[in-house]
Amino acid sequence: MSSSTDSPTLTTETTQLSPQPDTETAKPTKKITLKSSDNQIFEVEESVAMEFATVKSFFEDSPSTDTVPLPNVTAKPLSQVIEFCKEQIKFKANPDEAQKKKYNAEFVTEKSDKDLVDMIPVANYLEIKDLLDVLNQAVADRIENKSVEYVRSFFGIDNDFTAEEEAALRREHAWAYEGVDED
Amino acid sequence: MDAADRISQLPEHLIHRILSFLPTPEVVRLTVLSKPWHQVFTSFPISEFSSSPFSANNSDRSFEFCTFVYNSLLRQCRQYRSIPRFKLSVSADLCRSHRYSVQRPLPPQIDELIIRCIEQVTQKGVKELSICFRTPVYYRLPEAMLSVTELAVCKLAGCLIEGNMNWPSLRVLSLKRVEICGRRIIDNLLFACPFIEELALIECNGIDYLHLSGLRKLKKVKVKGQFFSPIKKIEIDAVSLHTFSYSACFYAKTDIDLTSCKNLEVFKFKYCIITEDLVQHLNCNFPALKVLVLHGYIHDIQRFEISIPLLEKLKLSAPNLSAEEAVINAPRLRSFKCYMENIPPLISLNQTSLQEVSLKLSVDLIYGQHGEGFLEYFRENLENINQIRLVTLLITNNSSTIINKIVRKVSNPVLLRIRNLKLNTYIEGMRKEGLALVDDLFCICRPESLSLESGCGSNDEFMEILCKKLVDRVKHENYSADTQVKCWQRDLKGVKIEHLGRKGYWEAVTGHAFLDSLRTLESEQKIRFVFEW
Repeated sequence: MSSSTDSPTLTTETTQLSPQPDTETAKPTKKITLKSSDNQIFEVEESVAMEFATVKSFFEDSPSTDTVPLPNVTAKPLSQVIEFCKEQIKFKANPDEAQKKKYNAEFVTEKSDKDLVDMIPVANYLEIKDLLDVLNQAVADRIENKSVEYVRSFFGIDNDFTAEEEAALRREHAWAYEGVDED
Repeated sequence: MDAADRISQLPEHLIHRILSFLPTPEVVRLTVLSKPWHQVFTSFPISEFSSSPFSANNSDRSFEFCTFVYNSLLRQCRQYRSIPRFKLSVSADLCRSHRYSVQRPLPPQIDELIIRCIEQVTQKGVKELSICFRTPVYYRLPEAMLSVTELAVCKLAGCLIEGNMNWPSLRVLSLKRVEICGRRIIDNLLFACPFIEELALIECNGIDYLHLSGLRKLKKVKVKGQFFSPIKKIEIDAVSLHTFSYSACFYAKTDIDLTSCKNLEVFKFKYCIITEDLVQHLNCNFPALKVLVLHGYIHDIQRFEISIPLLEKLKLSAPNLSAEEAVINAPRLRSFKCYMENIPPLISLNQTSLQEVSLKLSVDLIYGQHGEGFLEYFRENLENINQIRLVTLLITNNSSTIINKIVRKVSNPVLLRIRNLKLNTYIEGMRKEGLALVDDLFCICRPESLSLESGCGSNDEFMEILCKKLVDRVKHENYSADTQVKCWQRDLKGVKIEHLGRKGYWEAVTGHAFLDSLRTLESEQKIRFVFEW
């Protein structure tokens, strides 16, 4: 899948956005430490961490802590989720639906199938609704109009049906297979 | 974590969420992935049912379709306490063998199954309901539809309403190609929906007078007229109204009275007769108006003046606007779009807030009296408007030789400061005339981008000619200065061809790949040439 990040005509729009982070970093912000299940430490700004509903409620329950352990989350998907949320904060400060849509689409197109699927339980656990929707839509887009065999290998699913069972199921819903070009 | 099969370890509701983004036949196909997936499917609440996959070959499988819908709903009834969404769409070819008549819109067997489906969802507290029939005869709504307490969003198409509906929770109502048996019915229907926010009546039969009052939450009204049953009068009395859009049928005369809608921000009126009274009415009665769209014929206007203090967007499509002077007095105007078929009158529009001006001018250069001086005239006219960021110019013409004539008259080689050019060509014998057109085009402007839509007019041929010309382009250093026609090739530093993909992104293609793909290019694809001068 090719990404089109080097679109020439969009340069003006990105330069418009660039002054934003400078003003953000100018004022001191509180940092919060997140610890992944494989003991990696992530320092993120408070505003970013508050995007995670799970972390937010953790702080509401025990405000004195400064490190949040995330026992269900490994480092790689977590770092990608943080990357996404950092961008979303910028859009919150400076709403631009078109740019946000574009960023969200680019965020998922450049991810591998594996990364995409790995982020779903993380987004679910951290309760980041926007990201979860973006990811679910992206996974659906990648398997749409694909053959059953393709989807099996996409998700790494073992086919535990016998050939007869599978054929019977296909016959039951024969209409759903008609007029479909599977690739 | 095991590398294999992460997806099956996700909680069921997340897999359901992914499935909800896929069309129903796709979801059904995925049941054969594996046993756990089959399990996930059996608890997935299917909410969208369309009969079209059931008419893939020529047999009549309406019964199979209805049974599928019925059984899916039956299963959901057992598994869930409610069925929040139900969308049924029946295509025109569902019951091929059936002879349609007003008395028997559907074969009895099918009719009965559909009634039972609708009964199930209405008993299970459906909130979002969409029923669309494309069959030759209107579908008569069953009694189960008469009273649905939880219904919030209701979209009906190709149906017939004859009883008094009671949908007290309704917020959004959309009726498209619906036969309404009597004015009382629509009055009663709306009277019984005090919380309605959005109302759309598209090509409905049986409404000659629409009167909306007492609806305190009404924000959006969209009406489209129907030829056989035109609407004579629309009267809305709702302070909350934000958007009103009306599209008349063949310029049919409709009285519109929105005088008490003081908070109206968006007013769209299509296929209307633009009279001085209408413009005056708009100027005086809607102080909050931000968006105005007028699409129609001007009738007997001496002086065209729009004067609305908060207006931000104005779209004016008036082919015969020929008033001596058009005055647009809107200090907050950001976007102005205009379509005309005449040389525009002098438009006085000196707003500094203006960011986008789009002028679509469709001029017949052969028969028009403006002749060849028109580009010069147009440039002068444009230069009066500062702050323009975008100009779309549409010149319709039957022959490229006229363009050539104009080009030869033009004194300054780079005439129009057009950055982004959209082009639709309708030229017979494009293969012969196209080459000259390319030269002429770059002689009157040096755009940063040129956009074309495939399958439109002779665009495909034009793109082929343009692309060949760009591919074959060699850097000639020795063009003599006076061959104006060729000098664009010397000035051109680089070119990129881009294709707007399905996901809404421009994807770059090489010239050769583009030429190869042209034969198989689907219509309505957007192609953009990006030039560096």
